[in-house]
Amino acid sequence: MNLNGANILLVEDNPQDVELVIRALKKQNLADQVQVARDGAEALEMIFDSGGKSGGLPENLKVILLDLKLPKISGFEVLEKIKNEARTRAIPVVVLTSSPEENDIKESYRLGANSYVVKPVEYDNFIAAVAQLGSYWLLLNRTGSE
Amino acid sequence: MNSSLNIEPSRFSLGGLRLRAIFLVLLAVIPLLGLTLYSYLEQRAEAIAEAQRDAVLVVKFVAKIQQTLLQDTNQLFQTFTQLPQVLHQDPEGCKLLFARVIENHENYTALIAAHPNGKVFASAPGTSESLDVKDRPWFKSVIQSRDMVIGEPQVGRVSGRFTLPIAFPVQNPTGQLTAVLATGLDLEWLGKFILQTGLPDKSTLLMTDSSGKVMFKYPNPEKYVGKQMPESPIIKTMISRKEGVMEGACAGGVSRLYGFTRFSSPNQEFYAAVGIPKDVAFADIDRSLKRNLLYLGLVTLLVVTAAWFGGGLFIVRPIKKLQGVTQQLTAGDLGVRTGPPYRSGEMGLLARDFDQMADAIQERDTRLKQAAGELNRRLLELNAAYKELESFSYTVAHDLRAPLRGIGGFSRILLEDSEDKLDAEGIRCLNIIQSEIKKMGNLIDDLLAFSRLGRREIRPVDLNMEDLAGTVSAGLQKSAPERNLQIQIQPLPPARGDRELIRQVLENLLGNALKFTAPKEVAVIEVTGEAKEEETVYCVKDNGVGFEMEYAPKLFEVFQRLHPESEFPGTGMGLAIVQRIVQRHRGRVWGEGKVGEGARFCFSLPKEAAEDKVIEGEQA
Repeated sequence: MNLNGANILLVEDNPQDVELVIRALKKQNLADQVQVARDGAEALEMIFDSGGKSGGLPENLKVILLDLKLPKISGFEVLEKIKNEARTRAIPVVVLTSSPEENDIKESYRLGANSYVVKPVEYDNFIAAVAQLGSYWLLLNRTGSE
Repeated sequence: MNSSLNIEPSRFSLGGLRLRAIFLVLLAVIPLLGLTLYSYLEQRAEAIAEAQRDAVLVVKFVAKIQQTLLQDTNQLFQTFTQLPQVLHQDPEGCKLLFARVIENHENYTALIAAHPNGKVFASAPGTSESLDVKDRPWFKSVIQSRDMVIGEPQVGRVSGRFTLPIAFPVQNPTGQLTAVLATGLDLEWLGKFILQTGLPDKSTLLMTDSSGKVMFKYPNPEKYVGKQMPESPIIKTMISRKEGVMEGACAGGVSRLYGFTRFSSPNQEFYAAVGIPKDVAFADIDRSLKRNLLYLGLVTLLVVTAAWFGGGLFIVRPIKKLQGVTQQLTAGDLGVRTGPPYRSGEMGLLARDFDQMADAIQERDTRLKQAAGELNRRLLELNAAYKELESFSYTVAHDLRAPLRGIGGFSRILLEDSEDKLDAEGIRCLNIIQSEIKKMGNLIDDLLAFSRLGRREIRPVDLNMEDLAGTVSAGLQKSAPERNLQIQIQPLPPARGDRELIRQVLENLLGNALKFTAPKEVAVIEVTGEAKEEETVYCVKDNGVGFEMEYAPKLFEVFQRLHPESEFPGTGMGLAIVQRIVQRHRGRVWGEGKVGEGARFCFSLPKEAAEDKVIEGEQA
């Protein structure tokens, strides 16, 4: 399993949320660039294997949308591993979670998150938020690999 | 432990037990000292009396001697008148006789025989010139009285010594005066003789006649004898009291005890006194006093030393021990005891009572610690339960959001993707689902906010309440531009509290005021504040729909509403959050209102920066 050249890695265990995110990205014509990991372990595997045997960077990856409550390996652990590894440290990580907790926000930034977004409950707001994220990180934001 | 109770008496402070013991010992010595002094004074008085009695006896003795001497002299003269040498007025025979007598009697300085005209015809010791004694008082006196006459002391013409002249008439059988015999009694010899009878050194002898004329004085007779001294205190007393004792000082300054008495010769009265120096009289007693005082001092020293060491051993040491144990106990060593064996007496009782007290304290301490342990355990349980509850409510609220988002999302997708397949009723149902989900989302958000309040740490700062209320009010006005609002913020006293949370309180109260004044044409909202003694009270008053006072206590309950949501939207969490925030600041909230006339909600903040902390599970 690898990233297959995707721009966005969505780490999310809730299939409904996955579908909603993809729907929102679809509206921005970004859906075909998404790869989904269902838990933390899968996410790490994808990120660290995608560089192939050469051990290089996952070339096209422009942003990781990371949920915090994940099976097997938690979002915090995934975040920590990405940010502790020199070759993955530059990849922007956006925490996308249901938790508005101060502690979660602080911990995320402490571990090196680039952004923290609380999933809105309401559909319209949710769609808008994800669409904004997609257009910002993929279209507006520049990473060093380009 | 030593800082506060260090009032330990120094070794020599008056409060020290040792010194008290010594003080008691000295108290016991005082009567002894008194007794010694009393005994001394008694002995002294006794010595005075004795010395005086002695003096009187001596004087009587002296008088007796003198009388005897006079009688002897008288007899001597009587004898002479029978002798032929005298009867025939034989100068050579008389001279011989007189010389022999003087030789044998050293108390006579001279002997003379004179014609009635005063011409001396015989004398011993002999003299070359012819003597005439007709001008002598004693001669005139004997011519007149025809009896033995004792003259006044004088320096004898023949002997040149200080003498008492004694004259005697010689008469023939017809009674005609044929000659006068005279002798001089050696007064110095007499004085020496008397004083050699056992009187102490520096004793004095004094003799006067009834007029106060000094007849005799030893020592220094030449200074006094023959002088009239009736005003001298000794002589005055002697003449007025005749016989007795007295104390006095003579011109030499030596203090003496005088014994005096009266005696008489055939035709005259005399007074005699013996003075014994006081220091001589008291010498033995003074020595005895010194010795007694020395012994007493030694005994006192001994006893005081004994009291010092005994006090240390029997009083101070046990007390020091008890004190040390007390300090240990105070320092927290509850197991410490003075321990048996206990001495007999009060010290032992004190030590035993102390141990019993320590037992009691230790037992209570143990029970207290058990109770505290139990309390702490319960507190930890309570904390754990509280945290669990917090965590539970948070998790519930949090985990409810995901499915809710799913329901909302997919019902919306249904509406978007399959709108053409649904009839009007289906679309209405989906819209209801949408709005209900919105409400539930709000409920969950408020519940989460409320739950967060319990865990949030309060960071108190000084708050300018006027600024804060102004900001909140401005925000509200912006959110409802269509409303006709009159928000009046009166001068507000400053407060101390968590800026974010107090702003939330004002936001909720003003928000409520705004909400419940909606039916009114003009909404009048007033914010007031008042600084009281211990707290500051802030109120938000509106002219809205108000409420029934009987429901007032329910206002602050979670999810509690007094109006249908269709009329006034909201979750019913606003006032619950207000109450929670204010309570966490240790303040109070209350509300009052009247249906149709408006409501007033107040909260108070304590002036002291008192805010509770989140209960920590780790605390001991």
